[in-house]
Amino acid sequence: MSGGIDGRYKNVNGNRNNVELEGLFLNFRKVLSDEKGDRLIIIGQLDIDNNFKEIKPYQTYIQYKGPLGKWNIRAGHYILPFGLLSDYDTERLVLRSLENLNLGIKLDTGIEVFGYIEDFDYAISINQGVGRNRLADVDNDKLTTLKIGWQDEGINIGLSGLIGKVLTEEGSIIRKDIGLDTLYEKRLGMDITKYIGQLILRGEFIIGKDNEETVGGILLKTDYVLTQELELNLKYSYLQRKGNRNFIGAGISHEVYKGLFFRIADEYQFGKEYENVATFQIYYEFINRF
Amino acid sequence: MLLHFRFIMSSSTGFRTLIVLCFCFFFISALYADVCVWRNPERTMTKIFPDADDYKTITKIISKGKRKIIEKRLDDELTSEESKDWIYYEITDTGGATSGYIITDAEKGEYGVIEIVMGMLPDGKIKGIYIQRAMEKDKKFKSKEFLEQFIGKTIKDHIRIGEDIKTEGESIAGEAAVILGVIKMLIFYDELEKK
Repeated sequence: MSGGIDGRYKNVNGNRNNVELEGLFLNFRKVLSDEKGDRLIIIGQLDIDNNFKEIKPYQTYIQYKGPLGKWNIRAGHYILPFGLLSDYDTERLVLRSLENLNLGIKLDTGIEVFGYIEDFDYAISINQGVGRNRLADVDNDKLTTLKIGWQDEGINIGLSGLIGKVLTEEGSIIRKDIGLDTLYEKRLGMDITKYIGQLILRGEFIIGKDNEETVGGILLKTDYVLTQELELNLKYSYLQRKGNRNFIGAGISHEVYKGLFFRIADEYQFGKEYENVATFQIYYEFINRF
Repeated sequence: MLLHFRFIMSSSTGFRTLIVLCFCFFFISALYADVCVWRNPERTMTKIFPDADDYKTITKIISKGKRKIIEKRLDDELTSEESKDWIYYEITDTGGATSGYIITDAEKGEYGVIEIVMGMLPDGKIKGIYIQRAMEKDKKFKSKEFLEQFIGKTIKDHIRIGEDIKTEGESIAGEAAVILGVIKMLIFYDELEKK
């Protein structure tokens, strides 16, 4: 079992202040093996967010694993295999990735087949398209996500596609831009992660349609290790959908003690809207084995 | 008592209090989460065991007595996350027989964590070492020449810089971290798997 606590102070536009327990989360993981190898993986993650106002499952699924993980079948509620999301979850970071702006959905209930062949990864997922709104079937048109990735020493490249009806997350920017909570999404995406010594570079490029509205976007993110405990984080993202939004962010992450992080970051949005958010985060993660 | 429990679960304040109490219980007795996130476990396993067919995750609980023995052999204290249990992987062939073991360790270099993956044969000999991630500027410790020196070594060998292990010029933080990690993994294996 593992978990963590995420507390934040935010200042918006220099005048609005907010202190909040952003999240408190517990993760459960159990592996069951047969005589040859690991076979069943059971995951349960619970999030308690926004000062206890929301209690929701995060990833909750059962995975059947083939020999050496070359193929796997996963059923339940999990992160969609689109773009950087497959390997990079920024849920507990201050500078986030693009899925909130781009897809309006991140976790969903469904079934996925994934694995690898030599240096290539693959994933295909069929989901309900309702995200974290609810777990029950709502007779929605199904959402299909597909990803093919390639990796070599120090580099990962992926190509992703997504098509289907999406009930977007409450409060998402996509809902605000389109003016509807349900829309038909089509996306193509390319993602790249490059490791160069102390530097990690991440990029994501997307193009698509929401109903008949054209969407395009870019995310560039970099983490640079300054010392054993200190890391510099930079971000730029751009989204074009009924006007354009730009985000520039910079931050520092400091591991004060094992598992305990102090992070400070500033993110400025310009274009369609203007907003500056300065955040100070205290984050702690722990593990307990049974 | 049942009515009281139903009251707790039906009241949102009561439910939140229960969640916080559970959280605090885990928090107080917990370790810090292992930063060695193993990104490509299966691909790394097949670099060291190319004929591997499958693998099993094995967890060994470390008693207080065992912890003291390991620390004495290591001549150093274990960190809190190293001292409660130990996870390693048994590699199996197509017939289900054990080909060897994969053990992982993370040691601090000059610029963050160095993630080390070691393959070991059932007779205790090192089959191979792979450095999964490291951000060090000087990368001598990742070279084939440096890592091949560990192949065939066992817990009985004296794995030290300048003795069993040669370095080019002055040794660096990365090389020292790899040697420490290898010695640690050999001791853990000897104490928890073999004995």
